[in-house]
Amino acid sequence: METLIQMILPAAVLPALLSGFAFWLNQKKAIAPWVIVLIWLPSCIWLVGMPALIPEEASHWLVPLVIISVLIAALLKSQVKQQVLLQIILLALILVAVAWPVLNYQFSWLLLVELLAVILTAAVLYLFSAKNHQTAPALTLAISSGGMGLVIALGGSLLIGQLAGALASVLTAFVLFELVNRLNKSAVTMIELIPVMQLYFVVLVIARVFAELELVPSILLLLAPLAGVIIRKRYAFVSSAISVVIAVVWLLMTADSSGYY
Amino acid sequence: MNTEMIKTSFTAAAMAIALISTSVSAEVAPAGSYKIDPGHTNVMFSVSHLGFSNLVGRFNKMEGDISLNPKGNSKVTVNIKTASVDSNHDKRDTHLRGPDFFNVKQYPVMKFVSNKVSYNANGEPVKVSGKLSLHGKTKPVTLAVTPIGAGKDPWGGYRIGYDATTTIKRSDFGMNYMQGGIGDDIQITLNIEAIKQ
Repeated sequence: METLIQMILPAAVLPALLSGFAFWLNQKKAIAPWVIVLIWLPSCIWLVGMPALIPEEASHWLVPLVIISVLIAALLKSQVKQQVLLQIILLALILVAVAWPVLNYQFSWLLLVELLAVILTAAVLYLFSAKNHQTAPALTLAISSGGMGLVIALGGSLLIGQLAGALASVLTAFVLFELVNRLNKSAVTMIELIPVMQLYFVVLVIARVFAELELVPSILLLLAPLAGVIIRKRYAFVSSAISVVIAVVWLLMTADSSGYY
Repeated sequence: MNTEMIKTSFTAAAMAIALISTSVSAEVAPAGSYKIDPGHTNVMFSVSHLGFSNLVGRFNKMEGDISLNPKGNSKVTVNIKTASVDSNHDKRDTHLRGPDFFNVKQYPVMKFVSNKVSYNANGEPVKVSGKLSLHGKTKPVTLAVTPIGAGKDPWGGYRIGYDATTTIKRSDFGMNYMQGGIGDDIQITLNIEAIKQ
């Protein structure tokens, strides 16, 4: 029970509580919506420790990523094209830094292709986010992130799964607002959630590279937020949910079901 | 059992006895350089599971060198491939290789380098102190050594064997995950066989 509480507190309870506070501040116009990603930091630090001044391992890159991404969003709030371009460059740099030990020790072209696929997917997603108005951005990303947390926890690493779960919980209050308003209103736009999406892609790559997350669920998780953003329908988030559900079912059906904890 | 099988079994047993009697001796290993024989060396670890039992695992790939000299410089170096962790459960091994524990893609090698080898009055090594690098951290570790045997092998080489044990805290090496269920103390045992170069 103690272990279970230790797992749930940073991955769900703490970010959900902070989400409520951030939502309240956002409603009071006291903070900008993109600041909500900062409330993921306490969970991240709880789980992986204080960030090293010079990042030593993959998860150490998450904190600088969040801070730089939020700064870009803040400074280029009205210059959307420049913001999207810089965010994509930032993502590419962080992904190379994250994968560098593996590229250095055991080079693989496949890994480079996979990193490129993630960067291209992110570019498409961010460009669509800038152009279109989505009906339930927080719900779409929460479903994708929550599903990613579950898939990673089932498929390789509880720790990285917790980081993804915390990302979903960060959006709790914003999701509730969308649901209460029957998806007609949202407290955030997709473009404002780009820093959250940056984390989403980097956490996914960490799981794929370091926790040996299998290819099929990785592809489904990569496409999950994209599906919900490209389709401009009220219930577009359902397509994200379908990607996630297929990933979970695929993993449950193919994985070794014997317990060992 | 037919006569042919009995003959074969007897011959095999006789050869095994001959091999054993050739290799086991109470000799003290002479000074010199030795290469660890990975085929006859085990790196085992043991850790508490929920306080109920001790889970034993091993690393299947390793290499190393031993330089013995009771009157001069001695050195022991062991490199262990963390990806070869084997706890007798595939799914658990995948988890152990991941970021929650050994993070083998990030830290592919666990390395021990000695800085002092202590000998008993007979000139046998009994204690090896050095630094263990694991999971991106390097900490001092001391191994208690028990000499097992030394002597010529049936192929004309010279072999030595030792058991070495130590206990480390995984939290010292930044491996903090699931502290409640999985023990912090890790007992490490090396059953080493090395060939004189």
